Amino acid sequence: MKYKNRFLTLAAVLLVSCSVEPLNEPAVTEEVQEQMSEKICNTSRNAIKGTLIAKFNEDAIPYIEEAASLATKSGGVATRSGILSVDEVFARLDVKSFERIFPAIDEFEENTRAAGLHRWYQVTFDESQNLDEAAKLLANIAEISTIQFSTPRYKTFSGEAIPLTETVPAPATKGIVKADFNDPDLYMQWHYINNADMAVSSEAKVGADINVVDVWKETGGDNSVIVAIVDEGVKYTHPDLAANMWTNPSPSEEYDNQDIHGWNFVDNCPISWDKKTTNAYGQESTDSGHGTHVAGTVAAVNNNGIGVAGVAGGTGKGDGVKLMSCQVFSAGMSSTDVSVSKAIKYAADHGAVILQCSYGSERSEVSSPREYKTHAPLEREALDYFMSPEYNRNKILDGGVAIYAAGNEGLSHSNFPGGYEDCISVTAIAPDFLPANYTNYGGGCNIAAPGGETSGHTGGEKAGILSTLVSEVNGGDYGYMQGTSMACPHVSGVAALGLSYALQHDIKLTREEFIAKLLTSVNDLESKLDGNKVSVGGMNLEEYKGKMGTGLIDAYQLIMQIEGTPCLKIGTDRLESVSLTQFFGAGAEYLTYTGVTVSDVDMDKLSMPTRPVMENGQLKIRCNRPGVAHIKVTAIAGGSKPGSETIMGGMVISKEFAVIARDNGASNGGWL
Amino acid sequence: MKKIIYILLAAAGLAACWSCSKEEAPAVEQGITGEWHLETWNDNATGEDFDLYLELGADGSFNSFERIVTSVFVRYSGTYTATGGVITGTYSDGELWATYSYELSDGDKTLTLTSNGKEKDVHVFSRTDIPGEVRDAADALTKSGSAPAKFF
Repeated sequence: MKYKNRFLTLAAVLLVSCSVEPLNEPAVTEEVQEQMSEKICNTSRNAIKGTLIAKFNEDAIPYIEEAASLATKSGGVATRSGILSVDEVFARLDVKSFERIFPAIDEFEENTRAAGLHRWYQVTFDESQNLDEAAKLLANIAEISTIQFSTPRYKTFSGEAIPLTETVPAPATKGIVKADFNDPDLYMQWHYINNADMAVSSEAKVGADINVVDVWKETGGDNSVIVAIVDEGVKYTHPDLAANMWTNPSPSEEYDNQDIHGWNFVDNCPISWDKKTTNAYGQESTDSGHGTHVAGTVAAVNNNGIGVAGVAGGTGKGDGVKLMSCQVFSAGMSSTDVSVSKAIKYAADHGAVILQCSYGSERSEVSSPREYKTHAPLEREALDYFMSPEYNRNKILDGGVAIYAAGNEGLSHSNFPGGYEDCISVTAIAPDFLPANYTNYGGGCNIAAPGGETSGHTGGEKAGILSTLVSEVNGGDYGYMQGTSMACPHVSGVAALGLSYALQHDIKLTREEFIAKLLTSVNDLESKLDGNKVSVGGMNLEEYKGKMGTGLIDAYQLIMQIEGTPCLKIGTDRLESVSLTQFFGAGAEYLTYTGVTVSDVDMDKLSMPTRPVMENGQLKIRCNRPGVAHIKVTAIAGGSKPGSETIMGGMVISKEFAVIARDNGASNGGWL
Repeated sequence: MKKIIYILLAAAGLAACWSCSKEEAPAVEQGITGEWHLETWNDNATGEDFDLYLELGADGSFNSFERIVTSVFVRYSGTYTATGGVITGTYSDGELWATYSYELSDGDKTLTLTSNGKEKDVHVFSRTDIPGEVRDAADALTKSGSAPAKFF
């Protein structure tokens, strides 16, 4: 049967190639060839057939838009650009459609044009056409500045969904949950409250969680905070999610006024979560529940008497953060850079402040930030738009925060776009407070969170992450998954909680300040990375040293950091060595610091004989006079080198705080 | 038997003296009692970087509400004495204050504490009601002199 299928495929390919006129190499000079190759920003390896992405020069846009207007007025699909040289190539390619990637919607068009996103078009043609030749033909056109092969995007979860079967605690379960919420399955969500429960894992460790319970006493979320779930469609009718779904106050005609809780950017239709397809070989694929699982971790409705809790799912008073479903996966198929770019821009236009992205590009596609920037300009421009203070329409921060899963291939670097220096890339730990056996780590990784590990533990799947699922495809409303896909929404949820707290306490933060606080609100992971991890076949933990990010995300610390920056109190007339855990989290001594700044005026004020420096993770400072000075310390969040064009490094973050030099005061910390 | 009677009498006498000393008025100058806000320390204005409120009771008890080495206000409590221009105190865990000379001015609306130590250590307080939110925030993390509660 297998060989029969191969024969049929070969026959089909031959038949198609006979029926379509092959493209010839365009006759070009060396200089033109160089320009052409500069215009083609990536390679066709693994590219999606039958489509190319083109960015046109601004001068060409009026002609293109006029031609598109004529075509759509007559009820058809545009297949020509209105520019002779372009249309000659389109004719050779037998173009089937030619359309703007980011649709023109009046409300957002000014921003779209200002950002230059209106210049991106997608050209589709028969899949039998040679992609490289098609790209060369288009690159030869003066009106086109960039040609990009469209490439796939994949979900970053490892394994499968395992439905929750138990509804009562197993005998070995300690069942200790100190939360006030009444969600019955919260007791199995060790990733929020890890009591070293034997029912989860004999290796489980107290504190290998996100330390959220005390935060829930202060805030459970805020309706004004919108988190975009860029993933499979979120089942917005799920009984544990429905109340926290974002509802679009003004759906767009462009989406037939059906973008109520988001949009399906794969099939250009309303959101779906249980779609199946059968390919040419008779293989069936289906949605996996991935998007619904991720959404549940961010904000399953809390304290509603059913199911599970979400990190920022409210307190049972309708006060959870809102989930926007930006669907980029459907029916078990991979996504594309075009779909995710559309989704990212939609999120920015509709006020999402957090972009929750448990997807990535193929691992071998790019290996440095520079390659990402040059190979995936469409997605990068969409991300820049989302993170920009000018274009992102959220009312909380000056720009959005993009949070990505690092990837599950056990590689020593993050996948992209997470490895892009402006995005946060999340690694995964298991309930044993150690790196999960699948997690990527190293360059580009910024912070760790629980991602679960459904094998190698006494609790089996219970060592995974428990969240909401899609009963139609998963066989139940709740279940377990593992992956950096599952770690990522913990960081998104904590970020959303932090922003909720800031809003409720009228605390204004810049995006830069918030990211610095988020990445330094961590528990120490580094000191645990000695020897081998025995539960999963002896992972050498030394390999992970300095590579899991700043530490394990801690929601309580984030709230404290948002509340205010404490002062550093030191004595006078002696050289002090001070750990900066108050400012850089519990992993402070392991961070790489790149600078300490203090003004000459402040140095003089406190009579500092030399400039303070960071040595072995500690601040060395001497003040000979009592008083207050301000100091700024810069560190790398994730790894030992800052990310650059060529290096996959960490994010550079700064903390500014007051130093109080004084000898008086009690040893218990009291001022007097 | 006599010995026992003498011992009992001596014990009763001591107990009486002890209860007398307990009932003595605390060594507190009444003008200093009330609620105070630290305005400046060594000419550095408080507020943005650090903040401190002090409550001095007529019964010799004190509460201080401090946001200095923590992100939120923390309450410390204990007892103090203030007589003859000298103020000092003891936290409820037994830790001692430094000794300060004090001066009331501006119709008892301003309190200046100056350390008797070698370094310049001048505090200027103004008489101000302690805001409810400061008390509430501090009560969530009440201190009695032990190491700071869960922060980092």
